Parts: sequence; C-alpha cells; structure tokens
Amino acid sequence: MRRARTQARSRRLPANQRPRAKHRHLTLSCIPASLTVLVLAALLSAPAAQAGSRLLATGGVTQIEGAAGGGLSPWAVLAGTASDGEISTTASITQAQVDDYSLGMAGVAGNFYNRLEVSLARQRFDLDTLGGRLEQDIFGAKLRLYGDPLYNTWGSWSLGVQRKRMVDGDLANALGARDTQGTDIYLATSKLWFAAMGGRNLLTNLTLRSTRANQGGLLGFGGDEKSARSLVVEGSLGLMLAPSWVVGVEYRQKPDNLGVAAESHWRDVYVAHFFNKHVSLTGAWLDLGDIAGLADQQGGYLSLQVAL
Amino acid sequence: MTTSSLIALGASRCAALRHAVLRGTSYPVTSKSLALYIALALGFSVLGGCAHTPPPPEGDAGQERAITAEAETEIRRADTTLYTALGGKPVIDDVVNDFLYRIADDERIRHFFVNTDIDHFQVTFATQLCDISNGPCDYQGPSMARAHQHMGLTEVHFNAIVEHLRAALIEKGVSAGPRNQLLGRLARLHDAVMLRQP
Repeated sequence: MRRARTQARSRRLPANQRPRAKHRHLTLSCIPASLTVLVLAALLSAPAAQAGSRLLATGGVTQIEGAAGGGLSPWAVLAGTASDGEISTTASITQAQVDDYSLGMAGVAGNFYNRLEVSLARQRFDLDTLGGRLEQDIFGAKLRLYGDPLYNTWGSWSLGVQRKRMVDGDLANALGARDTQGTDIYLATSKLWFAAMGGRNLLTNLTLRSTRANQGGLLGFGGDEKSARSLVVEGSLGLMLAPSWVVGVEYRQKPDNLGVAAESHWRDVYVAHFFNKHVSLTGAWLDLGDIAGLADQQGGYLSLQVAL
Repeated sequence: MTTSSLIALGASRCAALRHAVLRGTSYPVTSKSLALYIALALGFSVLGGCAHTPPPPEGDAGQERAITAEAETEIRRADTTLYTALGGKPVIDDVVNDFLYRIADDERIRHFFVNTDIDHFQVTFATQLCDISNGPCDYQGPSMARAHQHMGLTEVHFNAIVEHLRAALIEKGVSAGPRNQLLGRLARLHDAVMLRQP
C-alpha cells in the first residue's frame, strides 16, 4: 500500500526528479569533477575577487543537509559571505565514512542579501555491511530574522525549513517508517564571543528543530514507536584559533521513532580551514552511535566548499 | 604606487595617502566627509578612563607613603589595560597608518574619505582607539551616530572597515588576545554607526 503511494507520487514528479538509478549516478559522479575545476579557479583567483563583504568564515561551512552551518547542525548564519545587496553561492561535497556505512553529500546554496538562503542537497547513504543504498533530496530555505553574530548583543537568529524526500523508501518502510518524505523546521541562533577563550573568538550555536526524521530522513519519517514530531536540540562550539582556522565540537539530538532500529544522538569534533573566502575544507571525527541495528558507528568526515 | 612604497615615504606618508585617496577616485567633493571610522571608536566614555594621579598631598610622611602606594597600584592597574597589551601609542599609530592605506586601496569605501583631512582623521582615530582600550586619552569627537549620520553606509562598508582594521592589527603584530578584545569593543559600536543611515 505504502509502496503504491510512493510510486503514484513519483509519477507526478517532473521527469528530471524521478528516481532513475542511472541518472542519479551520473549526477553525483559529475559533481566532483566540476567542483575540482571550481576549486582550482577559486584558489587561483584573487582572495577577495567576487566574494561577499562579510568576514572570512562567518558563513560557516555546509552541514550534511545542505544548509550553512557546521558539519551536523545548521547555524543561524547564511551561506557564503554575502551582505547587504550581495549574493553568494556555494557548492560543496562531503564524504563521511563510519564503521558500516558511508555517506556522500553534494549540495548547492544561494544567499540573497544575507537575508534568505536556499539550498539543494542530495545525500547518498551506502549500507556497506548490510548492502544497499539509500538516497534523499533535501530542499532547504533559511530566513535570517534578526541580527549578526559579530555585531549584535543577541547574535543572529534564523528560521529554517528542510523539505526532505527519499528517492526509494522501501527499506525505510520495511523498518517501520511511516513516511518517505517530511519537513524539518528549525530555529537557530549564532553568536561570536570576542576573545572568549585564550584570547580567541568563540562561536556558539544553538538550534531547536522540529522533526519526524529517522537518521536525518535516510530511514524515513516517523515510526512504529513514535509518529509525531519531536523537538530536538543541536548545539555547536567553534573556537577560532586564527581568522582562517576553526576547531570545535557539535552535538545533535535525534528522535528515536523506530522500534527495530534504535537511534543515537550524533556528535563530532571538527577542524575547518578557510583558504580564502572561496575555498574551505572541513575534517571531523564522527560518533553517530547506533544506525539501523549496527552499533557504535564512528569514523571520519571530510567536506569541501567552494563559494562565489 | 603600492602600499608598501607609500609607507616607505615615511615623513610624507600622510600627504601620500591623501594623494592615494584622491587619486583613486573621481567622485565630486561632497559635504559627506568625516571619517567612516572616526566612528569606530565612539565615546565609550565609561571605558575610556584616563589614568590620572591625585595631586601630591601636603602632610605627614605616612599619608604620603599611602598616597605613593596608591599611585603605584594605579600604575600597575594601568599596565594591564588593553592599551598596554596592544603595544601603546607606537603600535596604535602604526596600525592606524596601515589601516588608512588599506582604505585607500579599497574602492568600496575610499570615496567616503575624499573630503576628509586625513592627518586629522589619523590623529582622531588613534585617540579613539587609545580611549576605547583604556589608554591615557580622551576622545572628545562626535558620537558614532552623529559622525556617520546620513552617509549612506551599509553593512558592506562596515564589514570592509572591520576587515581592514583586523588585517592592519595582524600586519602590525598585535597578538590574538588584544586584537580580538579591541575588535570586540569596536563591534559594539555597530548599532550606533548604522543608526541614522538612509
């Protein structure tokens, strides 16, 4: 029944969004090549050429759902360095490898006047041990409601949505998920504290998210244990060792909706380097806990972002 | 003419800078002038205490000793100010000088300085930085809101100034602690600077 609904839905999709295996594969494999060209161009161009005016690193990096943020959690800052009257775009690829799974993400985001961010991301989740592949598309929008992390006492506040749709929901359905698409809504605040630790600036972020997603949506939405939305908290710290270096930790609380696949909160330790306003590279150590019945998933994370 | 060669001119550097500012632009002279960043150092009068010692007392030696001890405490306290950590007047002057060259090279903001007396601005801005970092100075210029009113400033201009000042602080060897403290104090002036923009 559920499967029939999914198929009916996919028939209504425009041709280019229909889940066709060949097309998906082509899209993702093209991205690294084109990104390499972009990275080279960005590294060779003058540091400030075409960049927005906001300070280096104030757009964060790209989190795994495509929004500007840390690695796991969206922040209140918007992508790139656009400010009043400026537009910036970012493209990023991320690869995470934990014990029994690997996650690839490719995304693009646009920041309009440092007011509105729109993002599009594709996640590809390989079940290395169990076998199989799960994918989902995430359309995100983030509106900056108030403030600036550097200049305002109360920091910056943003409201965001992430519309998620699984490409193939069979496995999620088999595990007991109620839906194969869902929408997360979050409120995020970011604030930079000058000379807060050892003379270094400290960025603090707090995000409150309403979600039904299992493992971020890769295992569907809602479940046999809980179908309704959960309110979860995500937090991160980033210490700016230098204007171009940030080290920090993140924590992301998660719902636990599926009876057969206990879900853990996510944690990471990260370091990000901003080569200039156009290129950043982030590395992290992930602790994702239990995923789809396999315990204690830990591993590495690497993310490259190019901004124009 | 590069920034570094301008600096090499030494004594005539302000004249050279003024030339650089004017050379790089064909904007008509307008009534807008005073310094984008006269602003940056607002009257943080609360913080801007000037070190002063009470007049020497006439009286017995015990009282004099007490007063002397008090003065020494005052001096020790002054030694721990942000002003001292920044490196005092020589470093602040260097930073302001470097900062002005960066502005002169930035077409987004240099037109704000077309009608500015750069020598005067240089002194005033250094005084503000000294004052805001608890140094022995007293900034008596206009408030930040007043100094920037109706200049048509946007976040782009504010960001550009912050970026240049940070770069100048790094260039002149100011370490992360005092640098970030100073930038943090200046960041609080944002709302006043942007208060009366069209």
